[in-house]
Amino acid sequence: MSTVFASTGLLFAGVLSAASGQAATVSAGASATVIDPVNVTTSVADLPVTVSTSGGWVRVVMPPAQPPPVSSSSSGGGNAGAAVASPALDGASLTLESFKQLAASDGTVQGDTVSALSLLAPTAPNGGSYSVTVAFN
Amino acid sequence: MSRTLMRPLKLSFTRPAKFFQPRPLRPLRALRRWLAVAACVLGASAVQAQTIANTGGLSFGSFVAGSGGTIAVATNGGRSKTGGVMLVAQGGSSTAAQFIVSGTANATYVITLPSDATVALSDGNGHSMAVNSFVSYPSATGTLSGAGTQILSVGATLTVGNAQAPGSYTGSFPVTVNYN
Repeated sequence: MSTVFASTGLLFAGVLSAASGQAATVSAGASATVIDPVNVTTSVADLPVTVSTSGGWVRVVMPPAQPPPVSSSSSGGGNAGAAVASPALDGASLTLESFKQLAASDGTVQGDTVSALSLLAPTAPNGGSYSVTVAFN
Repeated sequence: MSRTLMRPLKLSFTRPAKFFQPRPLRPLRALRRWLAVAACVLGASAVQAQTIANTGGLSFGSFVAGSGGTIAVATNGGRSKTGGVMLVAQGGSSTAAQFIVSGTANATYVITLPSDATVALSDGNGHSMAVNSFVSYPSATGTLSGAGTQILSVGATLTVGNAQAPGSYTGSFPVTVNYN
């Protein structure tokens, strides 16, 4: 009889132990998308330039030591919305802080097709911030 | 006097005596009784199996690798970056992974996330990015609601290489919960 009590007691304790020590595991997915931008390198004097990208992305790398011309932007009417200016282009920074440091400045803009890059009038003649307008088809 | 009146009463004690006679407990019957008691006690404590279900994946969104850096997705889905990585909004925003943990009401449980250097995303073409520094909300330990459930959010940090090869990267990671 004592054997029966002991064995059932052990069984009972085992059930509790399994319940309190139970682990559950699940696997979850993770993802990321690395975008390949279209690199457009141009001099300020050559602006506006025409670029074409079917991917809808363009990376703007401005050369250094270019005199900042004053030109009007041409933002074509497009299906990607109005042309946008720095510092934010659809969440991506496109701040061109200084023409003397533009080699390191770049940005990524979003659109279906980028057709032209234009430079707006500089806000500071000798340095400072400048805006680049990206026109979309 | 009538002989009938003189007849002694016949009382039979056979059935009561048999009824009250102690019978030895058989081991199997005793075992059955104790199992029934154990089941009642278990039922009263209502220890339910703990489960976890994934309801949403972890997404670092879209970005341009540039000179490389890191992208951290917080448990609220917010995204931040370091280094030359450029975050872009195209192709879907970042999201933290979502889970539903179920089990005994008001029970506490321990959350186990992947260790560093154990999870990576791959594009299937030999390129990969490491996913480290997993974080969760609640952190480390959770407490199920009165209904026996809780939503668990998991974020992490992605390491992007210099000129990381463009493409779609995928992977998976485990999350374990365990009753305290």
